[in-house]
Amino acid sequence: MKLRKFVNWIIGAPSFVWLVVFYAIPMLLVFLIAFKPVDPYGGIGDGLTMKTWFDLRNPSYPSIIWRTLWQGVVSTAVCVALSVPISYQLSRMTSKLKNAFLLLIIVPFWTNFLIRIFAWKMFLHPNGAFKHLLVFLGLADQSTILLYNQWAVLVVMIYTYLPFAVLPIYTAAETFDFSLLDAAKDLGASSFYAFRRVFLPSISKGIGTAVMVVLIPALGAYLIPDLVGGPTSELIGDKIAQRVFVDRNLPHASALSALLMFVVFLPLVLTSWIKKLQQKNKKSE
Amino acid sequence: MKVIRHSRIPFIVTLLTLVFLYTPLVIVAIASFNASKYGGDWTHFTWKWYKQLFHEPDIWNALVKTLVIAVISTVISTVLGTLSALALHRSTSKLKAIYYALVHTPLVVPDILQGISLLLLFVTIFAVCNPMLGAMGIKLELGMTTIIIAHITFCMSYVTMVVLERLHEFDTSLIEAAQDLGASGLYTFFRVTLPLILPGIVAGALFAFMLSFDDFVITFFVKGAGDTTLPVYIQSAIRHGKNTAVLNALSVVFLILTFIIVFSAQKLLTMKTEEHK
Amino acid sequence: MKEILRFENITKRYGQNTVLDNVSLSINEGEVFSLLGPSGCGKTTLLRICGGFEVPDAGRVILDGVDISDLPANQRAVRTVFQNYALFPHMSVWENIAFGLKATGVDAKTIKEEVPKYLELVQLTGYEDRKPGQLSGGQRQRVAIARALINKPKVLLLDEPLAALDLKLRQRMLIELDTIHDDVGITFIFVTHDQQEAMSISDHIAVFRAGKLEQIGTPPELYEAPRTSFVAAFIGDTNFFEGHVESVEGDYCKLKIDGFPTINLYNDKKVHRGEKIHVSIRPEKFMISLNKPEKTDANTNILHGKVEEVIYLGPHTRYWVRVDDWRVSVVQQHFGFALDERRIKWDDDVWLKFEADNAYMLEHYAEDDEQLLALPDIDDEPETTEETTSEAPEPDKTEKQEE
Repeated sequence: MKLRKFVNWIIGAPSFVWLVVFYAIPMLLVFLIAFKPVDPYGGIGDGLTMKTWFDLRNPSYPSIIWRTLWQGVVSTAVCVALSVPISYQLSRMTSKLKNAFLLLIIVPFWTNFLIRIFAWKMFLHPNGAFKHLLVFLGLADQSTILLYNQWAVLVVMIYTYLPFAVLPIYTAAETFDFSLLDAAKDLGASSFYAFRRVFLPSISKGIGTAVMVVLIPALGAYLIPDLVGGPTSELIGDKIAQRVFVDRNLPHASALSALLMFVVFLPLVLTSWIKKLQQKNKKSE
Repeated sequence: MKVIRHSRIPFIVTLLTLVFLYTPLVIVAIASFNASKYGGDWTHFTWKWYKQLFHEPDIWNALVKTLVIAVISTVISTVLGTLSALALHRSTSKLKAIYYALVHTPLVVPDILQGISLLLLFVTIFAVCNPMLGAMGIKLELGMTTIIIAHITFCMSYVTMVVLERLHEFDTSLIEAAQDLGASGLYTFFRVTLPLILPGIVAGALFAFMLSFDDFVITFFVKGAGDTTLPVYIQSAIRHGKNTAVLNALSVVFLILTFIIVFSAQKLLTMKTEEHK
Repeated sequence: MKEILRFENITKRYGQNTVLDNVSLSINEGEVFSLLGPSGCGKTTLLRICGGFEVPDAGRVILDGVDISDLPANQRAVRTVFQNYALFPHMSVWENIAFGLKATGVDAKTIKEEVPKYLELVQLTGYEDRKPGQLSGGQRQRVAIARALINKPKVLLLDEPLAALDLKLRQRMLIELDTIHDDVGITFIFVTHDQQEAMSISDHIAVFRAGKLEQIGTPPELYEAPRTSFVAAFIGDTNFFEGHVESVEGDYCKLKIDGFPTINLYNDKKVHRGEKIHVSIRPEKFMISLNKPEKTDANTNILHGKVEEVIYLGPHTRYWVRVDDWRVSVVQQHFGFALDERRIKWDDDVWLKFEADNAYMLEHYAEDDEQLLALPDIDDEPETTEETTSEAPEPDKTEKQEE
């Protein structure tokens, strides 16, 4: 048994060390460097300062944080709301049709992220097909700009993250025993009641995963607002990138990143806290 | 007799979603055959943009760079990820929970945070080391190496997770059977465990390759001045709105390749499961 | 006969739970020895201790005179046929069978000679290139046996080898296992929860209950002379009676039972007057008839009762007969063409006859063991219905053995 432990150390150590050096320490650095001053050459100066933290009181930031949060929450909600009926439909199909539909949903998932954003940029282009259609239907006129606003950002976010939400929910729905729904209906439940009280609780774990895998990248989104958004639709991610690539103020960027980290982990901590509370309640019942 | 009627709503939602997913892609595909350079109105059919795509040296250079990075980081992250999955699977130590968190959390951290944190690490290391190394005429800077390190870091966790899942499905009585038949621990590993988790390792490696090949955000933070990978090239082209027609063609090529890869992976997987039944 | 394997005072605990409690056993070379008991009785744990997959908290395992308690699994001269067979899914039948030889460094030439012999032994010649996934349950089972036998172990351990097969296949495999055993002559240790399987294949059976050894014996010994009510009820079906000895006359005694006629018994336990004892009488020991039968000798018991339940089962019929305050379970073989006979029906007045020698006195009785029996009011006992079906064909089997 001693030998087994030793072997485990040997095979576990390289990746453990790698993750400590290139993941855990950098994450700590994000907090530490926020206390450092900037040096004039765009590097990190000596000494400690609280200045960067005070700089976060920039009057434009609260609205940016607010926008990041609500866009994240709305895109997550839409993705999940679409994924549930899709997963239901997919898992009820015969296997041949199911594979075909699954393939159609997975392909965008694996298609290059930038290509998908590019497709939307073309689609919403002032000279693009969608604009022509809207004008033809009288829903827009020639001067309407579809791109470079927060609605474009939201739609593209939903578009790019939707497959992330479908997969975990579909995986959960696949193992669901559909005769339970028939049983519920046989007992007099309406379709919707059965769906809500029998199907939804059974796939709640998949929904939880879907919320995580959409909400977290949505909060950290940078490419989408950068490419299809405008100055009025910036998110925290854009600001971090600007501090790094435009004014080369790394301490400020890391303070913003620390803020983002806080925003990302807040829902995580909250959900696990709520779960614990619920379990406690269940036990006391 | 009770007639149980299924609602049509899920089916309609599914169809509409597929329309939503594919309309922009179809428009791009059509535009890629349009002779008009700036899209918009259809002029006439052409292969011009595809021909141009294959004669664009910038794209080819970027592709080669991207492939080099992807291959190196896939190999290293697959080895490291598989080892850590094995260690995690076998371990009963108290350290296991910390190790698991270390492997698991990178999967849920937004890529921009991973990008900036690695950039800060590299900048700090350079600030400390360069004055010392300067005497020897060496100067560390951002470049291919930092990109590869970053890619290995975010690919590794995915490989570990995929292999770990395979290990969990693994029937431990097979290992007992091998030992029962007189096999040593090492022989059991190479003849029984490894071949059986190989599909998991291959899947993890493919996943790592795709992630590395597609990554823009993290690469953008840790790359040096001249390191234009394919995603970096595409991003700058989209941003500056140049060469749009060629990008259309590139998108179609990407889409077709993805379709072929996913389709054959799916076929392979269903074949495998049927064989096991 | 030479002893091949001995367990000495084996004790195994999982936390608070004692799975094996001071178990000692001796197994002879070349026999088929069954470890029988309900699930969770510790029989599989004992097998895993023998195979080297579990370490006992106390006790020793002696194989052919050598203490193997501290040897790792891969250095013991025992082989296991796992419950789910544990065939390597990525290897062909040939590779699976050759695994044990390759792993222990046997040269390629010997492997080439040996594998076909064992393929033939389990009748799988021609299947060597198939993968386990392409085989039926019975074929997989045979690969697992060949794979385990090729190293010529001193003992072959079989962990519920037939549990995954359906009823018909189980019976066929049982015969095949017996044939293989005759061919190779290696000691088989067979773990099962199915008493019928154990009865039909074993030379000796050890009955386990909650980590303790209840009784060891040949199948007829266990069936005809169970020491405890658990063994009597677990192996086959029976009737339990409780009473006081009224008088002892020579080799026989009279038993006074509350609410039941006094019966004559063979006094094999040498009990005395006034003692409280329990007896087990197997259902097939009763003869049921519409007319009052003749006594065979002075000690023959003749009882009068009323039929409360009739279950026709093909080769035999099961009756529940009320005799005063008791309900007696009776099984009657059909000797004639059943349709021609005047069949005994519900509510008929009937006579039961059994010989004094056919009742057996128990050393230990626990009321809980009655739950293992097929009770008349099956409806209230959903758990026992399964027992009823699996145990029903039992009596006629033993009758054949007696012939």
